[in-house]
Amino acid sequence: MIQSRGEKIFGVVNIIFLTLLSVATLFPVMYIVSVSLTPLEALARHGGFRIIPAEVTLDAYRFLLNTPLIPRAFLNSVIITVLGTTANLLLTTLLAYPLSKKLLPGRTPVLGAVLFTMLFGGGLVPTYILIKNLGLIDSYWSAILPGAISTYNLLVMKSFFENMPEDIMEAARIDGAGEMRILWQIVLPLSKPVIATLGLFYAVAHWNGFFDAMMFINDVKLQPLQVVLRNVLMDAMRAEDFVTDQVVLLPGETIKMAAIVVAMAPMLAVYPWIQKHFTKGVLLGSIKG
Amino acid sequence: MKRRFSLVLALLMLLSFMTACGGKKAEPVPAKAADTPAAPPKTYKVTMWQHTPFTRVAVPDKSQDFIRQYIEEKYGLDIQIVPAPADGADAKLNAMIAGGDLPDLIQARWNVANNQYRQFMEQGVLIPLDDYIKEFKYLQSVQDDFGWAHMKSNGKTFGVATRSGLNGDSLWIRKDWLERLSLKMPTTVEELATVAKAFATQDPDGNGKPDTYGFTAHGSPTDLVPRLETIMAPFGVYPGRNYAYVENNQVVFTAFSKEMKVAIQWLQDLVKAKAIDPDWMTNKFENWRNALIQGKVGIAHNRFELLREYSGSNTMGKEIKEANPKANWVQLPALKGPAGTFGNWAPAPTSISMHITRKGNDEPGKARAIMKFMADAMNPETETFNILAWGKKDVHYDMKDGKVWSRLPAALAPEAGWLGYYRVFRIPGDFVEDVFWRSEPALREAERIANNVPVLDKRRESIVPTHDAAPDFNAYIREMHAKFILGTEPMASWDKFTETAMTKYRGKEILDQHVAEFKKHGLIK
Repeated sequence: MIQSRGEKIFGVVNIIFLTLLSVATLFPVMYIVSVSLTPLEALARHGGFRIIPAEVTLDAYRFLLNTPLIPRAFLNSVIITVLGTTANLLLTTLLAYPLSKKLLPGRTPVLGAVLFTMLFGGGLVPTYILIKNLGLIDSYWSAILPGAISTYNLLVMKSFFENMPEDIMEAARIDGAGEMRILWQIVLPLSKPVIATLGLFYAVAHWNGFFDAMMFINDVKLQPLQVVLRNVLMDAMRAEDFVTDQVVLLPGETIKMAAIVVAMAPMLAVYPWIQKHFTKGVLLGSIKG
Repeated sequence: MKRRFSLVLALLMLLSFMTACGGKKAEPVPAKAADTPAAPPKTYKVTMWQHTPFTRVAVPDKSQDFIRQYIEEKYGLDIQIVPAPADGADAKLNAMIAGGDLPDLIQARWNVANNQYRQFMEQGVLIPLDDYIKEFKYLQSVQDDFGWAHMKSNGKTFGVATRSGLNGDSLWIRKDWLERLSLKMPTTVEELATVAKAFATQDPDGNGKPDTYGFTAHGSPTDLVPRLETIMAPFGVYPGRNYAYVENNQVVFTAFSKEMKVAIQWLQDLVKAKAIDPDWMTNKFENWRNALIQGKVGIAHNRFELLREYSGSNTMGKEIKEANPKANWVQLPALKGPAGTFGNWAPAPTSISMHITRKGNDEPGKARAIMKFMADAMNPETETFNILAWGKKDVHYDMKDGKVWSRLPAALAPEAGWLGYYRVFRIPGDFVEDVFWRSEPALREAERIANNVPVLDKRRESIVPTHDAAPDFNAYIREMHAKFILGTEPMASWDKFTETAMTKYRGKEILDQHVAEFKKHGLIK
């Protein structure tokens, strides 16, 4: 394709702009990884700023992984994320699909109620009382059930289902398939983009989840990674404030960065696999036909 | 349409029936004490809310927790520790209390959530403890009147503040440098200034390079003038951010007091004479530590154990010796300054207190058992204290010549384990102090150092909730003090600085808050 001059110039400027943007985005991540790998003395000497570390050490990671709680917390996070995302997708699908049928009786009031929850919430104390009375204190489910259906995600999924052509479902109905069968065997296989997208949203939310777990899980052995990391870091920071002999064992800055890398890494690893579904998925609620 | 409507209605009715059917678990009815005759010692289940720095280790299971078993056996208390999260602890505690899930025993950290506990006292969440304090006499000695004042509301005592911590900080000086330069040990602040300048200019380490200084410091977000506080004592200055105290029935902010002005002027002179390491404002703790080990400075404000070898896994003392076997850090005697001869300041009355909630009193005898345990736990003469403090003999500590030497590495390390959760009962004041008590000899030395010098006692501060203007106010003070010390701001603008802080940075509001609190304690009229 022959491009006009204007288009060529735009192309060049665009590339430069996007490159700069990417660098600006990547730079903090590089900094974090680099500081986490730098030994403490090098940091102190250079005032804490090295992009490519001259010396590399795994001390900070060793410190974190030696804390017996952290591998355990990692496992807790994985469990909560897997269980949670499964529950999320299941419940969201089961609610979105019927709501996408325009002829459903009572659709409007139910939709109204759902939207209401998007705007108003119960608040902290009522939620606490609710969780306590359900017996979910110190249980993984306290981090999963209360937020099991995200209204926003629900609406995205509902839109997606609405835009699916009715013909396939009609054909299946004529052939004698029941509604559940239509859902599981026809609709869902065609909904991979939206399921992948929403699954990712939910999974990331669970992985990063801090508040629910902090509030409702007292047993440190059951707490997910973010809570435990926060505790470890606060201890390290507090200890630094007071002059302690721990300072040799607590390289504050590097530990903080190592903790960030540990918390980020799994999600970063998962993203590329879902990537191909992801780009299609978000737009799907909006495009017709 | 009608058919659909009735269908929906039927559905809704069914749904509402189902929610009503969800059975509530019946609460077990507690046995009425009046009915049971002289019962065998009962075991009370107690939950304890604890702010702990040991969140890296989980609270152990009961089967492995010999301390918990000991407490249950001796006092009939089965204590379940609920560690407060490092972040959001107040929100969580409030939610728990509002939601009816009160812990029985609360450990409060006053410098964290002081307003909250005042409210608890006034709202009846906590129970008064006066009778128990009378019964268990040891508790009366853990605090002086001023410390108890903080625990009182409407004349009743609602908590027990742990003993005041030792102030283990002191000024230290390189005696070998003094000898090398043939200088006398300074006894006044003027002499100290001379010595500091000499350290900077006369090459006390004899290496021919101008790489030594009198002082250095490291920035710390909590200090008013980082790491130079002990020097302020002879000037009559009390450290602390928006620290306010009572003088002549007036409330005075440390930051603007006339004593502070004199102290800062003194520091400014030192900076001009280049006796202070120019990196002092930007140093991190590691830099400061290195400076001492490498012999860059000759005078330092320090906690004693950093310069002592038997402080366990604290290796600074050892590292200093390794770097230079001739290095000899000794404690500076109290210096005479404009306000008198002081070597230190008296520590804050408390930072940790224990409270019993109304849930802790829901069974007869429970609160009493808890108080009995606490009284023993705080009393160094008891076996309970030893177990809580040091652990199991020959497992966690050795007895050498009748003195305890702990086998544990630094208290905050995971290997020290969950024992740390129980130390909070007997910590003298601030839990961090505990980090240093590796052995009784270390503890005694700390006491000796602390008591070695007369202390400036202006401890009449109030504990007020953090005003929302406080962060900016403190930041401004810190910035301006730094400017004055560095000389970039002339001392003539001191009054302007004071006025700006009080008006623009709402210092007046913070002051009013202090005044109200002092009045409540009856410290000013």
